[in-house]
Amino acid sequence: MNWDWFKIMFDEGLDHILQWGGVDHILFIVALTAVFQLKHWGRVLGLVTFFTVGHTLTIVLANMDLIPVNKAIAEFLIQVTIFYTGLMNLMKAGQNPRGNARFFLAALVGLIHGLGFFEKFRMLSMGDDKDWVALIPFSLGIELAQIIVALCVLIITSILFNFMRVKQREWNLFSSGIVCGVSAYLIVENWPW
Amino acid sequence: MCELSYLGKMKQWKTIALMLGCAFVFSSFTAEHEYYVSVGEMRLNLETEQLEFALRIFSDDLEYALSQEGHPGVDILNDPEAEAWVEDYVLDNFEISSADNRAIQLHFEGMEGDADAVFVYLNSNGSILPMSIRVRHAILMDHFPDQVNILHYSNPSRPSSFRFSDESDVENIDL
Repeated sequence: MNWDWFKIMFDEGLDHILQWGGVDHILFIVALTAVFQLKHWGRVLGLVTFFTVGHTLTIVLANMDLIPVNKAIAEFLIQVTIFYTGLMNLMKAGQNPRGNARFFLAALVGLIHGLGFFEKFRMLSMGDDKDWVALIPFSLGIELAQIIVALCVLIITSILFNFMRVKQREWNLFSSGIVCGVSAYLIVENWPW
Repeated sequence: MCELSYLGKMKQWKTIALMLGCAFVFSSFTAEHEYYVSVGEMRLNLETEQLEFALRIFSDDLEYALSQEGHPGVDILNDPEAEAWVEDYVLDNFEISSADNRAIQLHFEGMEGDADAVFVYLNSNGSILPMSIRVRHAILMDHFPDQVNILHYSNPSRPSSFRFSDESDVENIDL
């Protein structure tokens, strides 16, 4: 692993979330943070990290050929998990910012999103199946991108809450509605059967 | 009464316009994370003092590019002329020169592969190599705007990697 390769893989991980085509991952972060405020940033970082652990595990297992990856099913499942994350925000248990269920959800969703990330990782490490080290910058790039998105969302919502008198619950319903709407569309669009 | 139904119709039109607008916006993100990547390796053979390249390119991407360039329906593994077309295409889009822009001739050694991907082999054809070269790697970029080409230089003492995309399809490499 040379430093150029580290930087290239890091940028590819970053781009995967921040480019327009990665809008579904951004939606997931919006849904994941909808019940939090800026003061909960520690919990949000924890959630993003659980997510990263989940998808890194999937990439490792998939790279060892221990789990099969079907691209069509992976894309479909990713949209289902985003829809579910938005739906959970409507339930009473899901609206408690101190609830720990959210961490399991983040890790579980991470496991599934890893199937999508693996697709890109496999292509980039093509011709070198055992290029394990490249996974580190790739995952770090994804992690940093998600932290950036999560902090942006928290900053925007803190402006809404403090200066525009938007209530948390209203924001939650509004943003979860958008997330569920778009992911419902993407579920149909990615229907694999 | 008449006015009310007129207002109702207006609202309906607005709803329909909004739905069409949403459908238009949503259709632009299909969540199809299509990646267009090729990965290649360059090494300096110390015995012959020549550069050797192995470029791995997805077969269907290459077939798409060739069909766009006047060879519709090409099957790169089975068509007898396909190798010559691949040679022309690769040598047009993968070029090396010295830092002061003197072209260094590349020789197409051949290709092998399967339905998934092909390896294309090139070498620097007996040229005398400068200390530093300029590589233009624009393979597939005319046909896939998001195409990214990676080239690893496996120099034993100082391996390095380069990324070519539509932002920059030229890189300078010290040998």
